[in-house]
Amino acid sequence: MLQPELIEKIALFFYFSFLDETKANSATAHTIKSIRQQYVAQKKDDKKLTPAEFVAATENYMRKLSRGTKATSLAFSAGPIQLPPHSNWGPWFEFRKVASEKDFRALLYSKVLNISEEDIAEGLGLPIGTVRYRVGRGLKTLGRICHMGGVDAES
Amino acid sequence: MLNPSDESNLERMPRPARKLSNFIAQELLYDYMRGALSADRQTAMKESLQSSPDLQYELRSMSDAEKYAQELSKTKISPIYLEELSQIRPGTEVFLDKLRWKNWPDFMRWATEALLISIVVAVAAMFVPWASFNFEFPKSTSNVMLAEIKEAPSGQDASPTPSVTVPPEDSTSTTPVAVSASAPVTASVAATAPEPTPVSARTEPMEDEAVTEPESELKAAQTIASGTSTAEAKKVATPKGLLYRVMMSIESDDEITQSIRDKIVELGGEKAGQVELGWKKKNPDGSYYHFTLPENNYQELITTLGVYGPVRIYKNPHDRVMPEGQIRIILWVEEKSQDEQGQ
Repeated sequence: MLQPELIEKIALFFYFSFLDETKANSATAHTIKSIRQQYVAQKKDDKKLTPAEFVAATENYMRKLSRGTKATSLAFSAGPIQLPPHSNWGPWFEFRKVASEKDFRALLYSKVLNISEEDIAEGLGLPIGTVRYRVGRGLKTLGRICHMGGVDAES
Repeated sequence: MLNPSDESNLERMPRPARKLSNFIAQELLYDYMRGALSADRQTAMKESLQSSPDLQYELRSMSDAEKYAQELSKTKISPIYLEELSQIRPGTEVFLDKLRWKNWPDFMRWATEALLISIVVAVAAMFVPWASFNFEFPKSTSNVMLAEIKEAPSGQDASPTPSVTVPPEDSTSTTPVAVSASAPVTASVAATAPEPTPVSARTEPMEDEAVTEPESELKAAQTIASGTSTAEAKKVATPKGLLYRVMMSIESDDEITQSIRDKIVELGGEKAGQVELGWKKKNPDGSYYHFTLPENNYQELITTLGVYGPVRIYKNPHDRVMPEGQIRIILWVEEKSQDEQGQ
């Protein structure tokens, strides 16, 4: 059985990536099945799923989709996902559209899902400097969007 | 940096303050925010930030973006949905789960259990040494035909000298011994003489079976003679006693019956059953002789009987053990009907 926190992270990753509940649910279920299938085949305990493996699994799923992953509208219901109070999804939605896939995912893993940059680098198979660079660039893009829209993160 | 004016006293000159270009400062902004730069670069970045409003704006926006992302990271998945997700399993796992014993349908479990129990019982029945328990099983009917003696064709030789193939004295031997070879012999050793069977369930006195034996046992012997297998004979385990069954099918009359009776008496035979020697029986018609005989006169008796017609001899394992040198014989002389004679 996967750890609940990793299951939650998988679901959140797809929610923040697709910004569409239906697509996110489907992708989450598919990814969880895929991870467990691998663990059954390898006779491993899926309780030991590492953050790096989580990054690799989600990245693998997104790579297979290759296109059509960018959100065109927000499609959430009040059911599965519990948004923080007074949350403003506008900048994130804009960021999803503007930012490159690499920067977007690097920022999502690092700052939203709180996975360490070392684990991200291991999961993506990249040097840690590359990951930091992508995170920095993503932050700049998101920051500009926040400032243009007058978003105050602390409000 | 060295002072070139005084080469004898080389001293490190203080390095001038590092000035970062705008491009480098932009690239180092994230590391500066994280505090991951060296002290020199940290100082240089501070100076660049003081002199560049654009850099200050960038830094402030990145900081805000980080706070915004941290705010988003508080998003949660509802516990109900999380529970649903944790129940998701791959097809292989579902299949393997269905193969588990506890998930089998009841009827499948019962059938499997019944099958396993049957196999265990069958294996136990095969390997348990039942003979050592000395159970009294029903009487064995495994008969062995040792030799068949046929009369010579009437056109070849008028003399009554028959050709007889009889077993040797040792009843366990498989090699027949030819007594005379003047007439054609059809000797068929059906099987190795088996060891007598273990004591069977029947233990009534000898006289009690005398009347009933001719019908039942003769029929049994005739049936078994054609179909008894070697394998069955070999199953016989413990030697006990032997009953000689001698059968003839001839054109018989009172004179022959009397002469056979006289010969038996002459050879030391004594009546063993309740009926007299040569008791006439109807349907099938024939003469019945149940007697004991000294073993050393057995061959002479067979030779004498061979004069009248083909003799079939069977040795049946029997629970009754005769005294040393004595054998028990049941002779059945069946009367040939007119039709059979014609054929």
